[in-house]
Amino acid sequence: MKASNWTVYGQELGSRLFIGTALYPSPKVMMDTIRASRAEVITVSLRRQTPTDSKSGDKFWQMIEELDCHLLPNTAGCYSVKEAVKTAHMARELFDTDWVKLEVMGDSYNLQPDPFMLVEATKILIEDGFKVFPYTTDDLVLCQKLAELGCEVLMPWGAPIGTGQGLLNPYALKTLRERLPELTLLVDAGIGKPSDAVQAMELGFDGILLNTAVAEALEPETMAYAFADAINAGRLAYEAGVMPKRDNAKPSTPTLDQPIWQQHG
Amino acid sequence: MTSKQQIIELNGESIDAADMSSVADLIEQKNMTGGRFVVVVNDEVVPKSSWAQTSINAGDKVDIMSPISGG
Repeated sequence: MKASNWTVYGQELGSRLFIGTALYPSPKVMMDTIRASRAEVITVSLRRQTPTDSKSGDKFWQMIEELDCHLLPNTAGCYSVKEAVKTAHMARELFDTDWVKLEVMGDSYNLQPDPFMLVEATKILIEDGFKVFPYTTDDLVLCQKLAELGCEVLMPWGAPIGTGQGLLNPYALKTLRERLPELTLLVDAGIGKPSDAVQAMELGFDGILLNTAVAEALEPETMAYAFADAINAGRLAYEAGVMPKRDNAKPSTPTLDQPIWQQHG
Repeated sequence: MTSKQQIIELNGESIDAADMSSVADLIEQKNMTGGRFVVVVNDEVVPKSSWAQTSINAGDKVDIMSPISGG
């Protein structure tokens, strides 16, 4: 059974997995893995051509065209509002999309987004007509501010990029879900294994964005299948409604009509 | 008679763009037509539709940006 479809900035999607295109052992593995993931959105980036390698961009472009996915360009490596805004504009022209995964880093050690610059860059890009997917921390007030600016989608981290530590602060993520019920929320970054993704989806997150967990698995293609199934399972569980936890045991076998001496109340 | 030298910075390297009056000339002379890239002149994106009308001047900083993988 497949979980319900969803909508991202007016675009209906079936898969709830966004997958990155980086870090794979080879282009072939990347292609096979992305196909196995059944993702419909892939993240991409851009860089200045080097004199010795002016054609690699064309080769990469041919591959992503073959995948026929929606493209979500990022502003990776930007540490200022000016850089991020400029990169977003370049990405819009290059990839022919107004979607942008906005990354404005504040710390190079844990690649933590700078909340102040993130808000400023988001404001500018929304005014410039972009559909912004901010990579953000799980701070509620920051996320509320981004929503007020017009973001329909937010992508809080589960843990720092590439660490595979899973959801370090489930309470904060649960709070975001409860307080921002109308927003589309994806956990972006920090997912290490399929059960991390299940946990986020069971909390009511709409989707997952990941890259390293699949690309650096021993068998990326197999791991992509695992994540696709896990994300679907987590969403189905959320839609089905998880039972509440209890402190005391409750028998699952009915006690009605049992002899009185077998009933233990 | 040779044209007057016009040094620009292309992808971080200095080149003589004496025979290039527009972005379209630059792209053609560098045999880049047909590729997937975006041109940025002095930090401003130049859409493909404006290449022919965008002049190249001495001291300009031109970057050619290409797609790469990303997470």
